[in-house]
Amino acid sequence: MNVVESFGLGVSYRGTWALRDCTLAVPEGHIVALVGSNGAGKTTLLHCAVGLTAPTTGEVTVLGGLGAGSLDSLERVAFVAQEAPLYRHITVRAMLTVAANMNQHFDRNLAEARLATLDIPLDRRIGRLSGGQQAQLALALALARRPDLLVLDEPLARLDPLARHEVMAVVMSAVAEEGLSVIFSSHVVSELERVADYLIVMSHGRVQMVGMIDDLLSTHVVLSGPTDDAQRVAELFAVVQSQHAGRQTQFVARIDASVEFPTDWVAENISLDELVLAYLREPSATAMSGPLAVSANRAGR
Amino acid sequence: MTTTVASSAVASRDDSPCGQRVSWLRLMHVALIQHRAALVTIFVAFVTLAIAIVIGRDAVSASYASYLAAGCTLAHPIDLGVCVNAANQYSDIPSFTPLVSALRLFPLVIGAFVGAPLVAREMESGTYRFAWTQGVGRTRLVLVTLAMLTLIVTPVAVVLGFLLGGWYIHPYAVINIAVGSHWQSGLFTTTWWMTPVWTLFALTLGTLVGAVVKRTVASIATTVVIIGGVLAAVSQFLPRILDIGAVASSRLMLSYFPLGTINTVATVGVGPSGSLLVRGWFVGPGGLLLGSHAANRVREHVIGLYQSKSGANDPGAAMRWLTLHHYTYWFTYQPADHFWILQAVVGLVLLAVASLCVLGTVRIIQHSRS
Repeated sequence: MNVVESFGLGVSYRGTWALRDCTLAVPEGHIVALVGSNGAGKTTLLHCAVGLTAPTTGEVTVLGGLGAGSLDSLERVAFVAQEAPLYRHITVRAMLTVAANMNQHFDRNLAEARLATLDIPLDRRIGRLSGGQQAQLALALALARRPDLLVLDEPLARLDPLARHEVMAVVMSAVAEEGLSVIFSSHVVSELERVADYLIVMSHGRVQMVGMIDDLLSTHVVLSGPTDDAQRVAELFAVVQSQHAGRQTQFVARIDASVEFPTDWVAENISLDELVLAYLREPSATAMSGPLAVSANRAGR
Repeated sequence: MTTTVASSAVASRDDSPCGQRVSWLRLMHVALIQHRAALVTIFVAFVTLAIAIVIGRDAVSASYASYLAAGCTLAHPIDLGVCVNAANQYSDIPSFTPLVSALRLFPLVIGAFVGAPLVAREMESGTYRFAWTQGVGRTRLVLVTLAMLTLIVTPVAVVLGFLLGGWYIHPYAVINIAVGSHWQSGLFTTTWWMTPVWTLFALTLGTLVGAVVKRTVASIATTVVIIGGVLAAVSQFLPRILDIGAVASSRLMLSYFPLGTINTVATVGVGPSGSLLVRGWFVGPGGLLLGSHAANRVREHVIGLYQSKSGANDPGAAMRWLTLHHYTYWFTYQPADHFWILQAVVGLVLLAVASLCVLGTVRIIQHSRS
């Protein structure tokens, strides 16, 4: 089952496309990192998935075909929005009551246990909690809904390194205990590899790269060799990004197992950081494994 | 890649068939927690008005007692001079006009400070991203919140209407020669029925404005302008509204042959008792409506005939002259027993508009984009 599936998804705000031709399929059971520069369309894509934004074109479904934003999907998808907006004028305890009364399967004991672990007092007004505590509270509320899919929009953006670590630890532990799928958008590329196992890179409103992180890393390398030979080598591989420094050229390239590396070129493993940056610097480059699954599914309908 | 028009996968929103859902009672509890500020606003407005009405009652009661002690009633004005003086004293009670005005503004306060922020504050603070992604769905959440507020403001408004009407309407009906009646816009819009109707209209209109504007302060300001405008317009055009379904008569005679909008309550000897005289005009030979200039000339002449030099009225002289010259005086009036029918009609129109406001709000939030 795909936890999120979109086909030809596009969102336009007053004639400007925030998201365009977005076709992807995210399989269940993964922690998915959604990466991209500011204005890349990450938040728009997530808002489409949770039903906050209606598409201008195309369609999006969640959890194996439920309409995004339908009551059935809302009961099974939990969302923590950017900056974790909560009712600042009420107490944590009242917020728990609000969340419990808005969801049929809310586990209040679970939420209170998590908050107790994090030393977040129930009688404190939410507006008086720190940014990290508010993020933790929003996360605890989302997890207490026992969702099948947890969607987090920039959960780490406002947090210091310690709080970031704690938030992601809670997410990882929930994944381990509950087996839910998680999609989170982030700017913090350096921490992705430790947390996520599936990656979506977006640029200028389009999906640029989709796939398992291990697969993406194993199919990309950094190639270094003589500039004189660069043209010939570039025709052998799908070059994502190239850099020339005098007589030396460096490619970030997607490789094919059937093609052997040129003897006078050096191939090195690429880090996730380098890979993401290479794609973000070259918006026209793409590496899509997900869309094939979507196309196959749709062809079968 | 070929793009397709957004399909039902998302368009269905929270209308899909569902199993067990969160109960309305639990959602009411959510609304109570979320909208404490609105509840405080309602409570403060209610208590302030109720106290003012209770305090004002003493002054009204004392003045009304003195009016009755002078032997003045609508049916038996023993001495018109005495009664007019007593009635004027009654109308001079300072608490009355501000109270009626305050009660007329109660719906505006509810619309601006309870209705307008309902959706606008969620949109402005971003909390809609929490509320609208919970299992309940955005449509049910907004509808339950509106229902909860309706359940609270309706009895409050009914009580306020009763408090004002119970103590003021009857005295006014008795001495309406001098100071008007419940047909006038102030009291017409503050009965136990119209006060809650106006309040619900304002609440839903404010909510709709908030959903459109999406900014709290701007929504409040816009709501004040719109509802204030509607209140002023209804006040201005109430005489015309009350002409709808009015009874036209050419057989009854009004001593002063008023022309155009009359908007005066009939009293003993002047039109059907207790009715509202709405509009008067002259028809000339051939059944043609007289223009204002000609009508005024005819009017001045027949008033002179009606009020004879001896001081006794002579309707017959006026009637004979009119018949001889093929003129007819017409006027429309609303019989006393039409009062509650008109209250119901105006109220139902407002409730229909309120329903449209709710539908509009639901439609906007269903199609709202973050």
